[in-house]
Amino acid sequence: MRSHIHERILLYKIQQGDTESFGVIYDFYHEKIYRYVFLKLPTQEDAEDVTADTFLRIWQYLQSKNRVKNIQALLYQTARNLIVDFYRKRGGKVESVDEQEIVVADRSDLTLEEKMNLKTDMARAERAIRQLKDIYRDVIILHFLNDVPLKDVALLIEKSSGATRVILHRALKALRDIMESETVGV
Amino acid sequence: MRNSEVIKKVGLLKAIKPQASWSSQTRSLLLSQIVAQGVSSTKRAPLLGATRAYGFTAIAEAYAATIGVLVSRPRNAFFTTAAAFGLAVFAVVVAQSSLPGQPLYQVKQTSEDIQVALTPPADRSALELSLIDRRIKELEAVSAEEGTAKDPAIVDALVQDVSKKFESVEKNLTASRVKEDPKKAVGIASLVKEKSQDYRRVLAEKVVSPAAMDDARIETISNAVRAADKANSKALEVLVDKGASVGVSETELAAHLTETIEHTESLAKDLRQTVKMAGLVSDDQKQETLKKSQDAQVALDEAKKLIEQKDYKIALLKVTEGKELVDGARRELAASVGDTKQEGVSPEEGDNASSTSSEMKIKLVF
Repeated sequence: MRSHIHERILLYKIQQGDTESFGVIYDFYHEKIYRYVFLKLPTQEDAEDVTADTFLRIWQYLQSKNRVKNIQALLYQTARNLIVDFYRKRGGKVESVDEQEIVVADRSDLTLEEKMNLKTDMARAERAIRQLKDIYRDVIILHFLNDVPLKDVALLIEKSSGATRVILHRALKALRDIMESETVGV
Repeated sequence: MRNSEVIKKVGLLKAIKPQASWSSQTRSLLLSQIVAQGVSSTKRAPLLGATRAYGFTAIAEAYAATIGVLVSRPRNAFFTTAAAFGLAVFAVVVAQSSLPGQPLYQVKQTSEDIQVALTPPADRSALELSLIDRRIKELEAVSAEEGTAKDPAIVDALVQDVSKKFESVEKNLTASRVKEDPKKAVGIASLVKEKSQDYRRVLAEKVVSPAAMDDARIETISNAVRAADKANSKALEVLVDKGASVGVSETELAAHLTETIEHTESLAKDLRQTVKMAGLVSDDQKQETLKKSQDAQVALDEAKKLIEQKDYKIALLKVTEGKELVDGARRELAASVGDTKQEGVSPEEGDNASSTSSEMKIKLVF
């Protein structure tokens, strides 16, 4: 979002029923929300469904004229709630996860070998992230993949800034241990 | 491993993105659902999977409150109008699940027309495609399993409505609109391809029945298939022209072109078989038809090579050439079949010939 004021104007317009403004919100956030849910759900189709549902719920919420200060926080909270509902319907965590074909933007700048290596590295990173516990996964995805500042991550996970920094540090350590153990195994 | 290395490796996952076509389609569908939500229903939105029950409850509560006010307060113009509005809204809400032939269907159509009129032109195609989807479901509902329509007039009206909407969507995929918002245009194009295939399938499987088809109905269905095909061709043009610039992968583009090639090849093969069995067609016409079918195959084979070379725009030209040859041959053959009023033909022979020619014409529609 260009600025906080720009976002406030968009939110106001959306609450007046302006669909184009909602389209702007979708354009800016949908990839980030997709990335967030993709790494927390079993399949690409599930991620697509939850992403679409998230935006539909946001629209409905905004139409009921609820006061919204932070659309980013609302989007992530809604996505998280939908993920909880998803697993609740399945009676708990899905144990085995098929490795998903990650859609990578066409990298015509890379050679075929470089593309293969990139896919392998990405698959390894994805496997490692999926093995983290939920809160560690959240901070890693939000901060390192979706560029959410730490103070906003703290709001999203409902912890203090200090506690969030500690969690981030532990998450990185857990991730390092998983990746190193995989490398040794190879 | 240092933290910086871990962060670098994890950072690779920033490349995780949804497919561009899904993003565009979802955007278009979301906006059209939102517009359509102006008159809510209790039905689950099929593609987005979210219940809209809250909308129905809110409107029902508003209706009840309006009626309550009317009863408890002295009458005046404001409350009478509010009650009338409440009734109208309630009727529109209930009408959403009605089918053609039912009393409230007219209300449903009127509310849809209003929605379309109030939608800005740039967003209209998405709404029309969601209405096409609705019409296709209604077609399935009103056609019996055997394919014999319960009321041909209702089916024809639905078929004509869908055809008009496909024509409207196709016209809206103008060069200027595509240039203005290529992402939206590509999303619409993907939806058009999907819906035109659904429509053809429903027409072939549910609507058409040789026993109930006279020339006029065959013409109606033929026009319907043609409208869907035209929209489909336009959609393919948009996808090939603009797809790459909005992130559609080469694999997807190749898949879209290949799908059209395979469909056209199958039509060409049907055509060759139909011509061989056609006792009512002159030898000259048969030769002409077979030649066009062969020329079409040559063009389609060239298209396949061009797809392998990733020259999608030229491949599209060859696919179009092949398709036009096959479509032209089918139309000419259909036109030459059918006049069974020949001298010296007995009434029974005439009847048999007539039903055979109808079957052939139906075959040539699809």
